[in-house]
Amino acid sequence: MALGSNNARQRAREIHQQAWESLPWYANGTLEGAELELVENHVSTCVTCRSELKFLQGLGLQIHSSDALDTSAQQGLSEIMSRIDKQLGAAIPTHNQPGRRLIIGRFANLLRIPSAALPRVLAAQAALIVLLVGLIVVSYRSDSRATFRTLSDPAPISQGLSTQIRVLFVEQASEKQIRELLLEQGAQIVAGPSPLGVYTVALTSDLDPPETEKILDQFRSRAIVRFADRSTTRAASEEAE
Amino acid sequence: MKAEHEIELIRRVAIQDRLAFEELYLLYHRRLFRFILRYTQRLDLVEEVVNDVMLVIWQQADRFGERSRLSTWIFGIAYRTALKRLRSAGRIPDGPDIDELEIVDHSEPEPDAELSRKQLQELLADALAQISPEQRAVVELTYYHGYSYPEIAQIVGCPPNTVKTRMYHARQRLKKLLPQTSRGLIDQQGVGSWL
Repeated sequence: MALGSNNARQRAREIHQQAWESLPWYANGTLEGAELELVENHVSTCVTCRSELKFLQGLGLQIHSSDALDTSAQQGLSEIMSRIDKQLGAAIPTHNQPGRRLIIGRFANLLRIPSAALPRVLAAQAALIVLLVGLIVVSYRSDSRATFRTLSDPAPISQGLSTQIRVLFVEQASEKQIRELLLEQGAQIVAGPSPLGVYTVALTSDLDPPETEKILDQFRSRAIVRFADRSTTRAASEEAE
Repeated sequence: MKAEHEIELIRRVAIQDRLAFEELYLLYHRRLFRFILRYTQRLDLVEEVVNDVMLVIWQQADRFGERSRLSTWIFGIAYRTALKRLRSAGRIPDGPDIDELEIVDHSEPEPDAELSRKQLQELLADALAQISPEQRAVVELTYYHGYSYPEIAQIVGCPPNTVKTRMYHARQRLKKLLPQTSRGLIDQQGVGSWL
């Protein structure tokens, strides 16, 4: 009988200790499940814990309202963007650049295929897009020159395409949407996708920076484009590898 | 909705989208500034540490596995970066368990008097400055940033029970450091939740 009573007292002490330690998170409302239930039940019967809870709530209120910091993010932002620019200037993006694993993971989840196989699948998709774009160009040119080409003929090499941009399409973009956008902008995929899923797209002629920026804005304004930016020769050649 | 937007931002940062990074920077600057300042107590270091943290985020955004809240991941980076800086500045011992250190209480009892809200906050700031950085981080992450203790464990890289232990010692210390009058005032305000 006495043993049972001792056990009950011991258990009550343990519950009190457990509740006491969890009180700060009961006060900030983040306790869950059985722990929340235990603390709630205990607090309703324990005067000591109720008093401590009151103190902790007051402490939290004081800490929460002591935020008279006058911080300006703008200065820090300028500095960090300048650091990033320097880094980007020093290192052209490579296949190890940030984002690779994340993007590959996203695509893999979407397509329900293993991440490791995704580059090959994307490469196959790119080949298909290049082939389709090639077919359109072949079709267009064969009309104007009245020449005959078979499906196995290679796509014509574009002599005048020199300004290049990098484009990442959203995961849901269909081949038809991509094709329409490229045709509308007189652009052509010349390389990609990179491991990040980025395509190198050549524009119709050698454009000056403001003209290129206009075309980029056109790309960026489309819902199917996640990211579009100027390309460098080196980046383009790396993606083509 | 907010969490989804943040996830969208970090995905864009992972492909080096500068606009997304700028938005994320502005979203987190104030919270990180406050946390790092409270944790380190070094105003001269804060801006630099905030930018070091944000640079890590720019470089390693693809490592965010989406297994936790984005803010938990970012605060974890902030905690480790600030800790490293404190250690290099010789403000914190290299040992892993700062809670085992004996802390000497140098505070003197304050005379009882009517305290204004401002004075109360000053007393609290003084008291918080006297507890260990590890304990302060736990207090700040709980009371200001509203994290659960498992999330704090993730941020500071220790077992959940260690978080509870640090908080337990912090509470004891704060009670000793705060004069009786201020404790009474804090009690009076402890009605309802602040979050």
